[in-house]
Amino acid sequence: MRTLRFALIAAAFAAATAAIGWLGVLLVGLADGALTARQRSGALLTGLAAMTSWAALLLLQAARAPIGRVATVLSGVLSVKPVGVYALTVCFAGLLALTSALVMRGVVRLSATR
Amino acid sequence: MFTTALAALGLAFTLFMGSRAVGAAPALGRFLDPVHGVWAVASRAELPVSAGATIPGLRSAVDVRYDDRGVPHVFAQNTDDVYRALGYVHARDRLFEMEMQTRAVAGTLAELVGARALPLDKTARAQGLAWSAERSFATVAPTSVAGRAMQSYADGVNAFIDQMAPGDVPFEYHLLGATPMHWKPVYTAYLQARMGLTLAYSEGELQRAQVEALVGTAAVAALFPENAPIVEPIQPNGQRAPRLDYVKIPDPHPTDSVKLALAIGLEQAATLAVSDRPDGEVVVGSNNWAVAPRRTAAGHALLSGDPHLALSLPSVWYEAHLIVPDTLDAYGVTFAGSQLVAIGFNRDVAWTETNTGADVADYYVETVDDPAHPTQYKLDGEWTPLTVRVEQYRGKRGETLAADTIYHTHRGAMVHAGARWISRRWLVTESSVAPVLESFRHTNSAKSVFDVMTAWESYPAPAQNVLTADRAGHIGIRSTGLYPRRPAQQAKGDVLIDGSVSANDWQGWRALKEYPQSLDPAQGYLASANQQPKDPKVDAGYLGWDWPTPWRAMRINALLRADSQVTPDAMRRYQTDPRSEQVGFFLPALLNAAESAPASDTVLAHTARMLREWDGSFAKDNDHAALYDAIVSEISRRTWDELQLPAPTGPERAKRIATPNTMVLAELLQQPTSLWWDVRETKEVVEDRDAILRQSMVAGYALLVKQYGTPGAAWQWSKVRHANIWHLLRMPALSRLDLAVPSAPATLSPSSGDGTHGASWRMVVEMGSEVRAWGIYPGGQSGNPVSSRYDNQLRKWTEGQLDTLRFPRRPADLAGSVLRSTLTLTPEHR
Repeated sequence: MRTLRFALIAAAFAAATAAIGWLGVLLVGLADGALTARQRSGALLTGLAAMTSWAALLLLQAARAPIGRVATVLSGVLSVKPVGVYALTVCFAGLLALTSALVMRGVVRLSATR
Repeated sequence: MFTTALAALGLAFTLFMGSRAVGAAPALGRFLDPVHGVWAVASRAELPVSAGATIPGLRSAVDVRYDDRGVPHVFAQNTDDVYRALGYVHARDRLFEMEMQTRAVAGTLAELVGARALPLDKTARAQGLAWSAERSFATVAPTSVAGRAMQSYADGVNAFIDQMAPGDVPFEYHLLGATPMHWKPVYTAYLQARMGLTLAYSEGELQRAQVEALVGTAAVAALFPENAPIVEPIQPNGQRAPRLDYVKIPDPHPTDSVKLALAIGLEQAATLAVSDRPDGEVVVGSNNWAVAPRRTAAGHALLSGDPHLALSLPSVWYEAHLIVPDTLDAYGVTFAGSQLVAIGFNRDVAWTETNTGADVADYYVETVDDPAHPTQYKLDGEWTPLTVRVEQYRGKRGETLAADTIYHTHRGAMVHAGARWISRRWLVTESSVAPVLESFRHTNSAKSVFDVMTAWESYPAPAQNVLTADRAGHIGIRSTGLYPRRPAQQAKGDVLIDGSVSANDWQGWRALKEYPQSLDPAQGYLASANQQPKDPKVDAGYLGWDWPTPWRAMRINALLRADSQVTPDAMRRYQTDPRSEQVGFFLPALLNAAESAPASDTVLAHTARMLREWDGSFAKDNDHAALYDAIVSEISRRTWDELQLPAPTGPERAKRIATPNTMVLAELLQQPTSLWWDVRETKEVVEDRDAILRQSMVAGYALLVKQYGTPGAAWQWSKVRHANIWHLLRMPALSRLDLAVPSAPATLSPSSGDGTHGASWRMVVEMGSEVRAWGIYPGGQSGNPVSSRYDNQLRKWTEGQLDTLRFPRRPADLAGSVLRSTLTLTPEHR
């Protein structure tokens, strides 16, 4: 069940990103936070799902195009190692998803207690 | 509660970083998005096997075939369509470059890259290039050939922009968090004006006035002469060797403090920072030469095109082949942003240009009613209203960064120079774009050398030495462009002119028959390398002053005189020939000076021995050339110390206003006791020529030891002199730096001190029954730094190699392994 949920959220993140861009991660994160507000855990899973979804999108790109060269050029521009560029990308998605889910859970719980 | 608050903070931070650029870092959200962000550029890094697109207004389908070098061969049915398609393919490969160059002219770079570009924008607006281009464009009828060409091209560019997928958005826009702007037809006129800035802009009069204040009128006339002391003109003068017209360079006069006070203010009038000026040598130069069939091995005319410009990534050039049945079949290099082949060939004729360097900018000292806020200027005793232009500068978010008021007289924009106002009349700002486009259009479809020379008769600026060769075996050259005819009392344009009388204004243009030119000369070859185009003994009419050194021209002519069986491969080798004629002027003088020194000076003796062993070559592996180069720089530095402004108080070094070129320095070698050799700092001794040569040898040697260690492999020319090809955004990761190249300051492939200028396109064309051509430029067809086509020509360029250029007659001629990709452009159906 937990795995299925993870896969579904990751798919939702990927679809939202493809449809409306990076703010799709915010929206899915908020929605997931609202839906799972009463569960004890789950926000971390949301963050991991977002990271997985962006990693999968990068892999999809890599299957068709030389994204390694993008990472190399970016690493020069940003003065980080190429792996750092990949890490920055997936971590950004993860952080956005995690924090948006946590905030929404907090808001829902807060409103439920009032 | 605490977790939520912390998460809220984290979310706020993430959203901020995701949506706002911080410093040089872009807004990370859109930037890192794997679908829409920078990662997507990988998807368009390489050309697809086939693709299609629509262009509004296209009348017939256009078949674009990219060959294995990534060059598009554009097969269209009419000229409007071929320009639409070229606009599309230019945008597809070079969109960011096109916008960047356009904004550089418009003075709106800050809107794209931020406030750090404000000084550049201010300079551009002060130069008024976009302002004048707009006025020029307004005179072009939309239905005229030129008007339709610019509109069609814009339609093609905008069709690409409107259909861009995320991967099509160039890498740089992602970095800058910007969106490409739409292309207006007038931008072609902007880019034309930009070439005028590169090739026909001079502030020499301002520097000259300063030098005059420092050392006197007679000296300045000899240091920056109207006529080159070494005569090797473009228009053959019947001589088989250069003629030395040396004059005595008058000793420097004491500084005129009144003039100097005025002259120092001129620095404010200069738009080029002193640090941007090349140190003594004109580094933006070019070579071209053509050989008549009777001096070639195969009996076909040969032509070499070798323009030198500022090097950049992406390159200023874009190769393309434009085909319209029975109308156009031209291959060569185009400017991304312009419709025509600038340097290239068709089935019948080849053409190329070098810069003439004519004086087409004059400076006038104006009298204004109110020096602080002028409203009128005096002309022939009458107060005349100034035209006022207010320029507003905006940043990336549309915010106003600054505003300037620019005043114009009937001559052009004025600048405040200390206590004076100076206006500039500059031909480029009054030239129309239409005749420029027409000249290139007729050239592209010319059938003979005669057609090419006729095509350029109405061409205004920047003046170019247009060299051409055809299949019938004719060769010809003409230095073409408008040359101002100045009034008798002000026949030259090398000094500041009194602006209060209209009689000092230009009085028309020189006649075509007076232009430097030659057709099928008896010598069997023609060459130009930016040197003074005409022998002043043949025609003393004023075209300009302070001509670039003739070292390259002398070398080309020496090579061509010595070879009566020239082959295309020899033409290629000449383009990177490692020898310089300059050496023959300086090396004997250095060795003589060393011989007259006491034997106890071991460093000097060692240096002289190294110079004696040197074979005079600047080949990449030569380990003696750097010593000669360092010594010549030292000679120049020590000799021209009189041209330094009085040292300011404080740690700042005294600033040399201008540096006479090495041709004048060679002339000075004939005056061993001239006061110019004396170093003013050493008050107790008066140095002569040989003392300075010896000091320079010792200092040059010491400098190299300090920088590179003991003589040997570390002194190899390839380790000392590099080409540095910067990306337009000056980002090292997107640039190609420290490239070992077969270039030296005065060889045929010249390089400047910082390595940012050089051969921008090398081409050899053989005009046989079937035209054969070879070419290369430093970079690649794609502007995408992720693409293999971004810099794929670079290695061969550094080695002096050329690619074979494919010149298919029909689409079917490009098939199999030489066909990289096809693009089908079709009319948009509404």
